[in-house]
Amino acid sequence: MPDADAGALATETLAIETWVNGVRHRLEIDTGETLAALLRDRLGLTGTKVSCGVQVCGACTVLLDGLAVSACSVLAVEADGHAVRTVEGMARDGELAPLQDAFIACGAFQCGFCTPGFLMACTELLERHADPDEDTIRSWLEGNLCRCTGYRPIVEAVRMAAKRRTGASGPDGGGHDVPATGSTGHDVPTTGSAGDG
Amino acid sequence: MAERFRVIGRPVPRIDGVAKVTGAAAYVGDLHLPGLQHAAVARSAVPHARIVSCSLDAARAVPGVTVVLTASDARRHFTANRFGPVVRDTPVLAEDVVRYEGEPVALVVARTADAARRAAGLVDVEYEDLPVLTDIEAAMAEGAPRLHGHAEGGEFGGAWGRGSDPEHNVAGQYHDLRGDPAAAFARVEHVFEHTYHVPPIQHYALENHVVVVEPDGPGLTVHAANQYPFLMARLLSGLLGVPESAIRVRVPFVGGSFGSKEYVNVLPLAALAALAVRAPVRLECSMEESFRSSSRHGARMTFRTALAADGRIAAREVRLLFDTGAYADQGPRVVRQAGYRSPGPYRIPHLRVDAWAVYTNRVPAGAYRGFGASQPIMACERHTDEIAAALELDPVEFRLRNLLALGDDFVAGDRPLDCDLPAGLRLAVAEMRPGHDRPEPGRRLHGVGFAVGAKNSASGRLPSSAIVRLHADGSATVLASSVEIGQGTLTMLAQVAAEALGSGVDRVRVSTPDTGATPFDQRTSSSRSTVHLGLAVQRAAEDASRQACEAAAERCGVPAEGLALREGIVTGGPRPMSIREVIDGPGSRFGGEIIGVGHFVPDEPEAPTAFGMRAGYWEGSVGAAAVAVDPETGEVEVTKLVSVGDAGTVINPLTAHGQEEGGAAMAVGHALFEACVYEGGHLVNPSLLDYRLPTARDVPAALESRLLERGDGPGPYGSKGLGESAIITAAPAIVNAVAAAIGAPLRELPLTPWRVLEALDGREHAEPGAGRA
Repeated sequence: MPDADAGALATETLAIETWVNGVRHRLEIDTGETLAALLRDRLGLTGTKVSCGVQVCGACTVLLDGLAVSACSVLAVEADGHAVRTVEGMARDGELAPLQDAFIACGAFQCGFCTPGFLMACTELLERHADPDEDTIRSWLEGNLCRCTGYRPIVEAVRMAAKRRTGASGPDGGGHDVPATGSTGHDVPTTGSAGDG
Repeated sequence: MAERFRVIGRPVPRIDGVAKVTGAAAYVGDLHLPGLQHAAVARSAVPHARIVSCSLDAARAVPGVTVVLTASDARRHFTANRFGPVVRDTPVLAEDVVRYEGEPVALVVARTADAARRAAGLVDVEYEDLPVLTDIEAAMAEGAPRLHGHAEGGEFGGAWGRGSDPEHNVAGQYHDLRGDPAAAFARVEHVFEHTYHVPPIQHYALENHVVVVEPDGPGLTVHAANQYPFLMARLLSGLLGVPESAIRVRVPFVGGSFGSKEYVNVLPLAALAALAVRAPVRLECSMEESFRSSSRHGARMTFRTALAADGRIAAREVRLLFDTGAYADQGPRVVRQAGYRSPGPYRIPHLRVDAWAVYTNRVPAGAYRGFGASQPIMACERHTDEIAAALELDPVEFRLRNLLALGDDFVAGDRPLDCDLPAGLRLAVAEMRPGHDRPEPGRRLHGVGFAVGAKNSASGRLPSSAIVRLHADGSATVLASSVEIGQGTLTMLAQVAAEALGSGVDRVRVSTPDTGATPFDQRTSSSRSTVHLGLAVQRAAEDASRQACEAAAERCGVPAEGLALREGIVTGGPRPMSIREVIDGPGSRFGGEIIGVGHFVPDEPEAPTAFGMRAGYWEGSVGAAAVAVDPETGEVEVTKLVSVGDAGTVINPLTAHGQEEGGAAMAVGHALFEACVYEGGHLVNPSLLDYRLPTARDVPAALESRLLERGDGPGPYGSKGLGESAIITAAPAIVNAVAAAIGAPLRELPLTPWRVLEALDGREHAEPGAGRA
């Protein structure tokens, strides 16, 4: 069907600097380019998936300065001067993160297409809440859709990972990974990009 | 079970686990090939029209566009511009008429996806509107505009296609008459008749339709997210007029399917694009396009039941009208299965069933998890509760009085029921007992509901083959063609092979389908992989193990009886012998590895029934739900959801319960809010902004799966399939629970707050976008 907006968007190129999983990238980007396109097509980080394209399903969730955002609906330019974390950054030296281990142990995925997004959303959840209860977890996960599991194993995996973290670092829930930020002094972008609603 | 087996029955972590939690798992959309071009589809903006003209100039002028293709190009590159599984009624690109909004009209190929999409938006089509068929009864009426002429049979052809009657816009039909229902109705005191509506719904697999096609010699290599790799190879071989060996269909991980990724038009479209530009091409749909590619049938279903004085069913009449949309797709198969299953797993001496799949100007409807079972079971189980309520019978007792028992005939000539539904129902009742029907303090209304169903899964002639390559170090590669759509098939097959080889699961690798390399499997559907392909893999592994033992026995000059393969060593002979020695030792006949071969061929695929095919096994299911309904807002909360399935033998509890819980959770959406809403022929909610799926808040924390295990399934180690069991009864259980809570009948889905309020107090509520099948 004819699309009235087709070709209407004028774009230009822009130089940006961004940190993806701790690695600095200087890139010439198109101002109309989404963060998902930057990650998948330019950097080859195809773990981040795009599904609904309208910031509802959460499959494309990545962390921008530690906050979950939908990479399908955030422009690449918004990552300028900021740190992005994706699923590819979770394992360190081939060692899976506790959350990844817990997802496998609990059967918290089936087709796996939503999994990178859930893992990133749950990463932020555990950085904010050391030991979240069922209600907190379910509220937090409302921005991520899974069509396969029915969610129970995902909730269970979050609890398992939380227990391992708190067990390893004391009852105060310390030992959070400090997100590698760009340290540019920019505020974390909030307009239209923080959270999935 | 754990004692009898080494790895069967154990919660083995999925062998695709690390790949899926690290982002390394490759899906079709992640594939990048040198010189890759991108295709985009220009789609019809109207539901039914004659194409007056189609201007491609503006699209061709977009920088980066390499070619813009229409029906004439399809005719030039293909043997015919037509495909379809049962009847070939579907053009790859529209000829002179479009029959639904979103139908492919032209295909753009460009250097970038962005250019292709922009150019597709500039294809300028002038339409002359034709009358739009949106009502199934009206479409079947004499004098209604005809959407199709006669078309030849497709890959499924044969029996499935016999009901095609384009004169009446009928794509397929099913009829059955047993005994003398008319006389039985005349004899009884109680007759109940109810009509139920379910809307068309969307699969919403997270991964959109996507395919990458590379020209390869005289044929093509296709990377597809598809449940039917071998049938797709056959389809493309026919369209190109090349041998099946020239078409290679490879299927990596698939991001969910639920029946959506079978006969989708993206395959022939992408093949056409690749043939036209002689370069690799990717065609990736947006979610809106996925909404406009396939759906689950909306249906209007009338159940009429005669009840004897003792509460037993004396006779039943069922009339099913399924909206199959603009093209037959799998509709004729869906409606035959629906008709066959519609009476429910009850003793019914006199029966009449009439079922039709009817063409309309809507998105084609096809396969959907619970293929032809979900809709009739919804109607049957609501009808069952309505009868019980009218006679003030307990709905569970009423069911138990009429349910077929283990070993009973569903219909004489089919496989007798191999699932114990009464035991399942009693278990479900026990699970719901502790307090879930006791109203909590407050204004909400509480109810509990049950539903029972049985699906004749894996019916007919569905052969499978497998190869097990036993390597010199005792590890093994399984060559099999089951599509990993999330169900855990690779892990299941690894466990089956490991059990038969006496090895650990970590020593086994399982292939994904590649029709150019891995052996035939009919398809990944109908909950059949565990049973059919599982048997083929078990037999292939046993064949390899037997060859190893026989060779070792020969080497040692002893009989092979009593020898066994364990952890890569043949034991039980005069001395343990490693597989390496068996394969590479002096006098070995093996060419570097042992190749085991296994097949599954159904014994008697035909059955002397109106349906005509014998079940591979019966996928029995009981659903139970507890709900709380807010009488002020009409909002329904599912507070507990239990599914009872019949696994035969559980191969992997982690993935088995995963199938059950996931199916039940999916049904929450089907019961409460999912509907493709049409205004005339226009689908108005093809996006997650307007189409709501169950979230972590909609699915109860009390989501529980119970599996019966009698070890008597036809699959490996006594197993059965599970993929569709929970989904077929969870939705009717929820609806029955809501009806029980509010004390009013509910005959139309989904149970939006407006519908619930309307049922509660009879008031008229303005309901935005009320879609009706």
